[in-house]
Amino acid sequence: MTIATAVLQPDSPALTAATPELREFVVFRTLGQDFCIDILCVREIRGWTKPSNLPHAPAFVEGVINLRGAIIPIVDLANRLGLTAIDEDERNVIIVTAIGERVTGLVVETVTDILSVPATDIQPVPDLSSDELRAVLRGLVVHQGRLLRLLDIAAILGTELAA
Amino acid sequence: MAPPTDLRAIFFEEAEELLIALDAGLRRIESGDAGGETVNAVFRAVHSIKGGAAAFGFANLVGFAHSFESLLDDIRSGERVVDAPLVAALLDASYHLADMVNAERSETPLDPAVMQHAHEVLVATRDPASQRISIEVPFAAVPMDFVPLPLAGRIFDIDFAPHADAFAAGHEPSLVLRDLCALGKAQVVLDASALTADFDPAQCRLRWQIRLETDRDEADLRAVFDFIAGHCDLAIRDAVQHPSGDVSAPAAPPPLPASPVRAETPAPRSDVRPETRPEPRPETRPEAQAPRATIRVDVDRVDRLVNVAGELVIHHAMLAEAILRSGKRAETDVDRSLDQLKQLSRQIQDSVMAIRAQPVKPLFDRMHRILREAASVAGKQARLVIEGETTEVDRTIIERLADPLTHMIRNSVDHGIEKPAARRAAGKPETGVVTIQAAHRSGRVVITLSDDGGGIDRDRVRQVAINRGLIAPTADLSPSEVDALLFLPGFSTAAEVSALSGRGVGMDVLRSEITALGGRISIASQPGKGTALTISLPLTLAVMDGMVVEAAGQVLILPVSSIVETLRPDGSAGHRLGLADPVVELRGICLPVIDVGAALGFRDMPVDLAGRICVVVERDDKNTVALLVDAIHDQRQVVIKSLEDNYGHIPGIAAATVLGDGSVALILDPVELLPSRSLRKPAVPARTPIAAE
Repeated sequence: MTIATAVLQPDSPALTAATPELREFVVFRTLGQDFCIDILCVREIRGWTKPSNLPHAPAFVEGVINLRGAIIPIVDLANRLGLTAIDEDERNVIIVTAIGERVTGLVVETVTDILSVPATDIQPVPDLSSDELRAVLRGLVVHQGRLLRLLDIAAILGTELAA
Repeated sequence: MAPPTDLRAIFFEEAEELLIALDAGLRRIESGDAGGETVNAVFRAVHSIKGGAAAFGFANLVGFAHSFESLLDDIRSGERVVDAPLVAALLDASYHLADMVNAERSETPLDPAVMQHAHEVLVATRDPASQRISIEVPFAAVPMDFVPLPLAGRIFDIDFAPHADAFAAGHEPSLVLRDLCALGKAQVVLDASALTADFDPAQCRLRWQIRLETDRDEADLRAVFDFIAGHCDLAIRDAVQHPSGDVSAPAAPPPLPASPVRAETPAPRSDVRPETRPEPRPETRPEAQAPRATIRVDVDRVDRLVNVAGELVIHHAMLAEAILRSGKRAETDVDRSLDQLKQLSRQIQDSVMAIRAQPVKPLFDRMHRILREAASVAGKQARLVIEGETTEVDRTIIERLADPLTHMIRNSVDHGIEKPAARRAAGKPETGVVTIQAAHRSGRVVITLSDDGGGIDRDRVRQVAINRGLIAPTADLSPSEVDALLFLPGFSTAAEVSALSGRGVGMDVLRSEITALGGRISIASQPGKGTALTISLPLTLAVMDGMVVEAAGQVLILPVSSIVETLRPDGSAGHRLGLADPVVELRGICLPVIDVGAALGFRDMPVDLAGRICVVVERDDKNTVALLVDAIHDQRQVVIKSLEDNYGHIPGIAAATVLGDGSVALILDPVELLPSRSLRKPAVPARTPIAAE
């Protein structure tokens, strides 16, 4: 079994082109909505692996996978944000994030871009009805006609996942 | 050349070993063995630390070690009789020395007032006569000899030359020398210049020059030589009193303890000053035991090796599965090689783990100090008894045991041992005994900490639990259930919050620390007799033997160490009590059945027993239960991977591992898997005796 793994190299063009005013984001799509997260949180992006179920886990925790010897939990981002659960599909991808020492995989439908955005282009979040979303949204970015929701990954994963 | 930082690191490593030797030696003195070699070992340890400290310019350390050394020298020379207050002072001094070494290591200076106080106490412990020795003298890099104590009496120079036929006549010069040394302070010099390469060991060719300082007169000296007088040349004369420095040696035992061939001393004029003399360089003296051949290895390197060995086990499993899938397993050559590879990788694994395994002794020895300090703060008397200190455990576990053990010791002193008056009233010795015991038991390490104190005051525990709303006032609890209340978060019965424990973060924190190590903790108590805390830990946090089972479509691992047997119940063996409590009958005994799939929430309804497999597992307290699984796939060594690093603790799950196909399987914890209602079962008798014999 081979797993397509794209490790983001520090010398990739997207990074070297950055100027201090620019912030870089990984842009991805899940359940038809576009999101982005700070590239500095992202360790790697890898193909989908079926996770092993975890007992007594919240619904948004799909299970755990083996990442080169480390056991990491897989979180269904759509479900975590209060949307419905993502469909299980071999074409889903896992964004491996690191918050401090803690490594977590986010399962999303597809990763579309790596984007450099001037910090001034990040718009504040308007009032939202969903508390779930408001707690984890840090801003909005409009890019080529698409609305990208900027997520605070630490707020999503910072608390203990295990109930 | 090694950079100075390396030398520094070596000094601190050695200092740590020396401090352990120092502590061990003081322990022996405390237990009544104040013999020459024990005192010497202690002296050597302090002296070596002083020497090393001087090389690095740790002036405070040198000054303190020097005073310590002087006190030890008084003991060695017999000036001081070893009694309890002196031993206590020595122990305090050794703790302070350890603190000073640690302070230098971490480069965080100690409070000068504390240092000065410790130093003053130490100096005051020496008798007034010896206090003339100035401890302010800065220690020179060249170790200095000891300033002689003022002595009264005469000094004799004795030439003692047994005749060649002395041995044949049945004389033993060493006995004569011993008797002579008993008269006063003697400095004995061997003259072996008459020895030739082809000497006859039956003939005595040795002569001795003795400088004896004694309050006896010459006639007493001559009396010593009465028996050998016909077979030796003897000259005794008064020596000129030297101002100081020369006759520094304290009394010495015989220089030549009866050895079969005495004349082995090869050097033409070798110095056979006996071992008890103060040597400026202890390293040059032959040690009592030959040192074992060891190497120092950076722990990181061993850890790396452990990880790689773990990966080897995983990849062996992957290879085996790949071959199985390709259908080549049937070929015996492949099968045999694979089997050998399995053996080898297991051996590598075991050897690597053996490298990392360490006896619990250093950890336990540290508890002496904890106990002493805790007892003195609490105004109680207690001593620590250690058993099974050679038990070996993986060092990763030992490291993480220090805090829980410290906590347990303090708890024992604070809550267990009574005040001396109360103990007297209860007819117990005033000094309480805390026993710490380690043993291997069925693939786990069991550490028991027991005290002979008052036991748990169950009425009070109950009352506190009710007051805090932890239990209902009407709750009917068995004694062991009351004891278990102590582990509830936020429970503390200490009426007066002491400086040691009783801050209300006690036992529940202890329990979570032990649980994080894959261990379990239980408590047993007898009113008036004492309390025993038992922790059971895995031998290693790296690998284990696991049985690969399947339940509700999930592959899970059961630790083989907990499995008693497996059985396939036929229709008649399974019964149901009420709706949901199945039991299985095994040789006339009914065992509760836990459906693993349902207990973990993978399956809603418990399934029928028929067609499934029961794995009978044993809890630590000898309770057995049957775990219901759908299938057993394999038995293999699995590498333990932490779930808690990236996720958290899951009840019923000990850890995770990686299977041959790269997927993750969870390792079950059979004990935690039990439904909570099993706590309502009749209390099991405590396994560990509370009182020592």
